[in-house]
Amino acid sequence: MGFLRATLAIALKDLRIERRSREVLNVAFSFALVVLLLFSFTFDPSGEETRAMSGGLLWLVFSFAGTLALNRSFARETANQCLDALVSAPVSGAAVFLGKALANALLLLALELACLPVFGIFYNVRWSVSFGWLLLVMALGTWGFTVVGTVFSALTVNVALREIMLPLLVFPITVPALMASVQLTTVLFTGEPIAAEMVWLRLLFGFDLIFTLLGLALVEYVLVG
Amino acid sequence: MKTLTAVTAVMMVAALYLAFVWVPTERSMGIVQRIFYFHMPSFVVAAVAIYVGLAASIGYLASRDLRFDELAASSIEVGLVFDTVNLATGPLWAKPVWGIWWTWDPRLTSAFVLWLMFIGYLLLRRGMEEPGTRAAASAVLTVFQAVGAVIVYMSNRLWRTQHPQPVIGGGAGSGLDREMWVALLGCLAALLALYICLLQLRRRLERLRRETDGLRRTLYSMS
Amino acid sequence: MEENLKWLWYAFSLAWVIHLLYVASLGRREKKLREELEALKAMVEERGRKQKAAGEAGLAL
Repeated sequence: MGFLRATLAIALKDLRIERRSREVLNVAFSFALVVLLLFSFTFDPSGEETRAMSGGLLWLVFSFAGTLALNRSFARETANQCLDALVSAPVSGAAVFLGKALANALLLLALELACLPVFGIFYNVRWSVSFGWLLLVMALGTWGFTVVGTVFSALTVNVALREIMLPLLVFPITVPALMASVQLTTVLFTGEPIAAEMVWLRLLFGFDLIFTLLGLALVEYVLVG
Repeated sequence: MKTLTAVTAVMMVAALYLAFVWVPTERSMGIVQRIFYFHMPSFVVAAVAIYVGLAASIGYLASRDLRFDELAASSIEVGLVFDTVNLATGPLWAKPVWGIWWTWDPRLTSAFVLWLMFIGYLLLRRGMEEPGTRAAASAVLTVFQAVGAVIVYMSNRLWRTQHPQPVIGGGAGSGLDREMWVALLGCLAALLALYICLLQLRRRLERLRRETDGLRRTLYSMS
Repeated sequence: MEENLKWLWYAFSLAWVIHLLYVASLGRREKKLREELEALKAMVEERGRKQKAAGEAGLAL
């Protein structure tokens, strides 16, 4: 099976599972709402300062909900020895990785888009202004987080305390992507011109490129051992 | 090993002399500034440790020789010790001189992120029993972390140029006198020797573990 | 100046304590591994003797 066809097949498989069970979206979205609630107690939602922090708040919500989603990515394959079947199938590990990463990224993006209106209402933030740019930032930021998270989801599939290990391993590495996404999102929310922050966009793009390549190159070792 | 320990001991004494007696006291910060001579080199050693770990990890992935994995694990653990010293001594220098315990500047943030990476690596290993999968997982993790550490530092520097913050330890431009350089490099050399010593001690542990694992397998096959 | 000297000593002592604690931890772990190694060696030897005796008894039959 060609690389792209295999990748697509795996991505569609994961998305189909999610569409049937909705296990990730329901839980992760509920969790995101809970986090938004918690933030309302720790920060004053109406203050002008909150608007300056809005990018950070939003991406924290995305990150926490995201780890829930990413955990499931390889964890759901452990039942019925699906993971062994995947690994021994005539598709390269890289295709499995890319397919799963694509599915994860799309799920996370859907989750984030669902969160936006809620966030806008709770914190009085206008997010629809430069929506094209916002979508780009969300896509790039989510991809960076997803790519590292998917590799580590495979890495931790058999580890004790997997749910805690995944964020512990992922976050220190994805800090730059988070930083860039927050910076860009805050600028978009406060209505400042994005031209000044182009360097962050370049950083985000570079981050995505580097870790996608690393993931493609190394995931075989994780899957096969 | 005995000569290594002896050489290290001598270098440590020499470094102590350089840092506490020989180098002149810094004018503005006073005697407390001497912390710098073991605070900074500790971070350098921690950075060396992760890159030795990176090289060993690549070596394992290329050759599947478990000895590379043992070297990587040992280096990361010893690196953790040195990074802990760096993080512990930093605030003790910062408080009397700059009045704050901590600041999120690129250097300190990177030291902390590195510390979390070391911890993550060691915890991952603790959660995996099988030597082969554990080695492969650890190796891949190290590659990601080593690359990530560089990007974290770079992005923090970018952040700092946009949001200037108090810089502990003097800015990039603050010069060091010739004597201070000598003391600094002398301490760095001594700490690197100490790193090698601890590394060898730690690797001995891995070899013993390998022996016990082998015996356990023999015992199992005999029953 | 005297006031700051205490910070220097705190930092210096802390650095040493951290290293010494680590070396002590290494020593402790090594001792445990060596004891385990000795125990395993003894078990392997005993198992080997038993199997040899059983083998000879089998041959004698």
